[in-house]
Parts: sequence; structure tokens; C-alpha cells
Amino acid sequence: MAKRIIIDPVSRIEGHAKITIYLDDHDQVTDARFHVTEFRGFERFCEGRPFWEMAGLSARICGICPVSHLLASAKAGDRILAVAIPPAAVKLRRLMNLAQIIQSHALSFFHLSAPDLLLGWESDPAKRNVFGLIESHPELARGGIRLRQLGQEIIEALGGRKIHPAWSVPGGVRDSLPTEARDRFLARLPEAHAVARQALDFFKRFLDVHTEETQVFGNFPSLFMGLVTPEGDWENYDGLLRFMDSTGKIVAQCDPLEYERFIGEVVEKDSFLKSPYFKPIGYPDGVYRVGPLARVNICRSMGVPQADRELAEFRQRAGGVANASFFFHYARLLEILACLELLERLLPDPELQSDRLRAEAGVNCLEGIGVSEAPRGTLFHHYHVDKDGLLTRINLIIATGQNSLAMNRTVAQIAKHYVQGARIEEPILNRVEAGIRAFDPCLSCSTHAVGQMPLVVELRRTDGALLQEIRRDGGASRE
Amino acid sequence: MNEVHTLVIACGNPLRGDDAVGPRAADIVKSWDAPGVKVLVVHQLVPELIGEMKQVERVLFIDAGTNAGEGAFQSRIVEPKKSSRLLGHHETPANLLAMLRDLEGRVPQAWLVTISAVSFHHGAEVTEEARNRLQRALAWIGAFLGTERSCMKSV
Repeated sequence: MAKRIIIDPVSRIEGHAKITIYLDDHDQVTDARFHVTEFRGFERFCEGRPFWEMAGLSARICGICPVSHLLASAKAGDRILAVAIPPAAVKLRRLMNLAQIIQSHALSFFHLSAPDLLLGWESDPAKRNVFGLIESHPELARGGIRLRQLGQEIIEALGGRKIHPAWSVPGGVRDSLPTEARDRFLARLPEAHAVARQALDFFKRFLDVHTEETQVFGNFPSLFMGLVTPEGDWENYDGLLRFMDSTGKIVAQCDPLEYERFIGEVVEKDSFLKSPYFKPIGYPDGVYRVGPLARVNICRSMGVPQADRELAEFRQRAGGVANASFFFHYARLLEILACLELLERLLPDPELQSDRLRAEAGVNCLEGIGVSEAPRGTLFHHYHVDKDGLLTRINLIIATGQNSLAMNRTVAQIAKHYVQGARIEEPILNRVEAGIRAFDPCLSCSTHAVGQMPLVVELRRTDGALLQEIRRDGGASRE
Repeated sequence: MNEVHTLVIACGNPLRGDDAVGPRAADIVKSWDAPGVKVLVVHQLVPELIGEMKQVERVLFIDAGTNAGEGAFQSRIVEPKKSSRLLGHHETPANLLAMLRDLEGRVPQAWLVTISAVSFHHGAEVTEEARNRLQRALAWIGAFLGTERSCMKSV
């Protein structure tokens, strides 16, 4: 009889999830699945609310990356107003998104994943945490905290608070950046650069001696998706939606407003995550990855010199397009460096102190789509409203959901390589979990669909025979 | 401007019923304008707070909880203690102090005031019981902030 090993809960990720590993009669791994076991439902309970409220409401989806939802929602609102927002507002939104990417990536790398990389997957679990990191690499631990602090303080300076700032709104933003804050942040950039460089140097040394991880941590061909500038460079707020295959060929590119031409969504029966796929290939083969790895893979250039030099080395080490999910960590560090360079370029712009920040209008379109890059990947907010601006339909496509098919493949590959027999030891368990952590999933963000996942309750005999199956989606109860 | 010697960190979500007593306490403490006291309001405790904590001599955490015993609130000294769980997106006062000790070699003296909560349901409404308990806790907090400053401990 087939056997299962269940890892529940998965640790050091945002949210609640479990992994199931399936074994055959010879105790060989046949498959593995990542299930999200929490449920939120924003897509449904926000229906009926004025679209004006949606930026503030959807920012509540997540205490980790509220800025991403704030921006995508405000952009959808811009479309409903049918306005071009003031240039200063665009720059200020971009500034906040850069800060968001820095703080989120810093937490993921320095606090959640670095203990595995620095202390080793086999190290004492009691020490394989930030305290172990502080003990062995205090400067790196301190630097990670300072980097995250910089990102959070920029968000606070713009939005008035670090978490859930109600700042970006349909038509623009509420406030500009005070000059005092600008000067404070500019003064801190050299230190932040040094931390990013130190972490990159460390990671490259790690790669030199840990080639196995790059081969078995989710190393498979897939598509990659993200935003690029019209010239094909790295982008985080606007631009074009690009799909690239694992050989580097661009297979599709479109205005993000046309995303439905290329992205379909399914709900798998064992998870509250929606699983988007590339429509031209279909489900389940149309797997694509989003987030730092995808953004770094699909772009022609990072658009800033230091990060461009690192991008060249990244591609040389990966042998072209990086197909190993383990390279998510590397891409995250590269993006931190790029964001710091972009901050250095953007912060002195006097337009950040402009008082022309918001375009005023009423409901001019009954549909609006907002797309931006969250730290974990491309984020879509798609609203339909009535003539009074009340929301009639909402669809959110979240980065973690878009990576769900790839996370299953990653977990399966790691399990097949490391799990031997029906018993799983702690270091192996940690490696399986680390495959998921490479994606830095945010489950609070990605579990909003209501009524799409058929809830199935199975009643079985101890010998495995099915006695009754009850389906919530209106399907028949059978015995 | 007075040098900041005491940091008040109030934790809570103002949209989750009695969880708002921490932020409400912070608003009132801010209005006292006590010299040398800085007040922060946070949804959750996060690692970068140690950047603020390392600057001061003492820290007062204020939070809502269901573990404050029979009384209106509970106040206790917090010692640095590494949590057995892994660091992530939210922290405990003891864990933050342990991080600060391990990184900087010293910690401020710290206290935690836990105000007894009745309900953490969605909404901005705070129960009458929690409002009354908040008033009693504020009396203690006022006295605490008026007391003589303690010295930084070296560890």
C-alpha cells in the first residue's frame, strides 16, 4: 500500500501549510505536494465595497508586503478613474516599492534562509536560527536587520506607518517625501550597499562549494514571467508582461492589462492556493515561476551598473537562464543591490517633494486592472465595478499562487533525491522545507478565492476502503 | 530636545477588538508628553525594533492578552530568552532582548504590561471590560514612567 510522510507545519514561511510526500510499496518517493491549509477570502467579502476603499482593504491582506497590494490596487483604481496620475506620484510609488522589495528580501535571506546556508542543513536545529547566525556571523546578522530597517523606514516616511499605510490611492498618492527623510536615507545608502555586497560575496562562496543544491533544489525547465521595461530591462512597477522559457526564448509579451490571454487559473483539490498556468500550454504543464528568479532571468539588463555586473556573473554561474529554484536566493540579493542603486538615483529627484500628487476623477470605466511586482512576484488586482463604483467582481492573482505548481515540483525533486525509506530524518526534513523557503511564499496573500476549492471529506475504513465521500461543491455524497 | 531614555512599544491591531488596547494606551502615553519617553505603535514585534531598543535604558512593552491572570493587567520584568521557535515575521519581547544582547552585548531593562482582553473579534470596538482594564493599567504605566530611571545592565 502507498505510504505518506507529512510535514506539518512547514516552518519559517509566512502562513500555514503542509507537505505530503507519497511513497510506493518499495518506499521510493513517487510524488510530493505542498498544501496551503489556511483560508482568507478577500475576493468575495470585498464585493459590494466602493473601489476607493480597496487599496486600504487589500493592504490588510498582508502585514509583510502590504505595499504591494496597496500599489496594485491603486493602479486598478487609476484605470477605473481613467486618469494618468501625476509624474511625481509615479516616482513616489516606485520609491515605496523599491523600499518594500529591500525590506522583504532582507527578511527572507538574512533571517529565514541564511541560517540554513551559513550553519548547514545538518547543523543542530536548536542553533539553526538567527541566534546561531548572530553567533557565527554577527556582522551579517546586524547588516540584515539594518537593511530591513532602511526599507521599513522609507515606507513609514512616505505612508506614515510601516504596516498598512493608506497612502497610495486611486489617482495618485497622499503625501510626498520630506527633505529631512530624503537626506537621512541618502546618508544610509553606503552602509546598505556594503551589506548587500557582503551578502552577495558570501553567497557566491557558498555556491562554489555547494553545487549539489543547485542541481536538486527545484532544478527543472519552466517558463518565467514578470514585468520588463519596453526596452526589456528589469522593472518592478509598470512596463510589459513577459514570458520566457528555460532556454531564454521570449514566448509571449503583452500589455499587463491583457494578462487573461496568457494566464489561466485552476484550484487544486488539496490546497487553498489557486494555481495559475500559462494558457497556451495548458494545465498542468504550463508551469511558470515568478519573483526574483523570474525577474532576473527575463530581463535584458538590471538598468544599473553594479547590479548589471552581478547579473553577468549570475548568468555565467547559472549557465544562462537559471532553472534551479535555489538561485532564488542569489536573485534576491542581486535585486537588493539593484534597488539600492535605484534608490540612489531616485532619492535626489526634487519631484519627490512635489505637491502635485493626485488626479481627481469619478468612475469613468467599469473595469480596472492593476499590475506591479511584489517582492515575491507579479501581482494582479482586477476589479469590476458598477456605475457607482461599488465592486461587483474581484480577482487577485498572487505571486505565491503562481509559484505553487513549481513549488510542488521543487519539493518532489528534493524528496526524491534525499528521502530514502519510510522514515525522514530532521536534516532531510529541513532540506525539503528549504525548497519551499527558496520561494519565500506568503500564504496570507495567496488564499482568497471562495467557493472554488471543492472541500472533500473522506470517511475510510482502517484498511483504506472508502465508506463515504462528501463534497461541498454540490457534488453527490456517495458511499 | 530631551534625550530618549525610555522606549514604550505598544503592540496590537486596532481592527481586532480588544487587541487595540495597546495602541490606545500608546496614544494616551504620547499625550502625556513625558520627557525622555519615545512611544512606538506596532502591529507585531519585528527584529528591526532592536535598532530602537539599543538606544535606550529601559523598554516598556504594552500588549493585550488572555494570559494576564485574574487581574485587570499584569506587569512583569522581561529577561532576555531565546525562543525555541525560529525567528520569523513576529517576535516576543524576550526574544528581541536576547537578539539585542547577543548582537550588542548589553540590553535595556524591560517590562511587559499585558492588559486582559475579552474579545479579539474583527472590528474597532473595544469591550467595556478592556477599556476599564486599560485605565487601571495606565495608572501603573504613569507611575512607571514617573519613577527614577534605572541603569543600563551590562551582560
